Amino acid sequence: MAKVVSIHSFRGGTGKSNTTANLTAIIAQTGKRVGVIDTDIQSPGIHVLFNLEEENMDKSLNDYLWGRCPIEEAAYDCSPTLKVGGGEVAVMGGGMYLIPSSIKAGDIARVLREGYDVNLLHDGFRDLTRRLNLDYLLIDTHPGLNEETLLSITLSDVLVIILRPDQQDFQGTAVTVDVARKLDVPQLLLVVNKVLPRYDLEAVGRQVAKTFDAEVAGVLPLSEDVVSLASGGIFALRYPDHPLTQRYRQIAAKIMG
Amino acid sequence: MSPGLFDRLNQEMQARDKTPGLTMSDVLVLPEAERRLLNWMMRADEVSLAEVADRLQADETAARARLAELMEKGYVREIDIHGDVRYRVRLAPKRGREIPLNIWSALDDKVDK
Repeated sequence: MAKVVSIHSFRGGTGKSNTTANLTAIIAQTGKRVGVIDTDIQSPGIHVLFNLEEENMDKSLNDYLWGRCPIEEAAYDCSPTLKVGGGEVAVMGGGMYLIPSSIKAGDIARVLREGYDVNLLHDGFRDLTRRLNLDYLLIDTHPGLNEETLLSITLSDVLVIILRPDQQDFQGTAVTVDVARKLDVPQLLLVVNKVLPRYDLEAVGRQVAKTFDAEVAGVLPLSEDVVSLASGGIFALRYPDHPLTQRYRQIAAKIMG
Repeated sequence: MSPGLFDRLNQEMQARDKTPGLTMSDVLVLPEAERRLLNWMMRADEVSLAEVADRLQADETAARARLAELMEKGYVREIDIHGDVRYRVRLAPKRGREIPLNIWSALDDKVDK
């Protein structure tokens, strides 16, 4: 039975997709089969981190939701396209599969205009884990609270909420934590991202844990190296010995339990 | 506005009125017992009458009555898998955005070019 993990933030720009991609790669490196699905259908982006070019994206989550293909046909094995520090191809132990949302303007407009059958999204999560024999399914959600985000949270074994040390993020996270508890999510983890390096990171983690009465899986400092990479790859693969990668590994370990 | 666009919107509005189902925002405002049962059913994907009775710590007659209430509201549907009756949450379709029609029309024109 696959473990379903939703990665969410109340506001945009928290580093949600970057964190999702890094966690996906780290878990796959341990020999697990990992799927990652981009349910941010109105502003997709995680495919960039996996080096999946638009012209190579034959099918997407949108095609599945419109009944054009089974969901596994929209899954791309991204292991061969990923590069590690020296430029060589990454060796992912189990396999890493991305189900992107379409980046075509017409497809985004159509899904916003017409909606879709949410039961298909529900079925899709189940079918994907079975047909690709996944150990983990990570769901990259749209920021804020909408129907697909709430469904993803409900179906998750683990919900990871990403926040920055920012008053607006704190308020939004309080709402999300409250919703997650109403939806009976079995495991709730917080990740504080983009913390100024001069702060005491462990003290920030303790403060956030106390504020939300929830476990903090990791505190990630704002990193010039991440900014420099500019979504041009997966940080943990490019910089496997970086202290930030170590922190990603600690978060992955909490998810894997 | 093109006839095609109008037809699509009209079909959608008619379908919307007929389509039962649970929205996730409905779930958040349900009474706790109902909400927790539906959360559990969604996570389990599909469940049997015996499993519902076990979850409710009730007998199968009471569980059947509870399921009948949820089916009446359109939140749950009965499915037959090779003669085995199972129950599954029925989610409402996600509605399209209700924004001025000329925006979609303009976007259609741009995208078609």
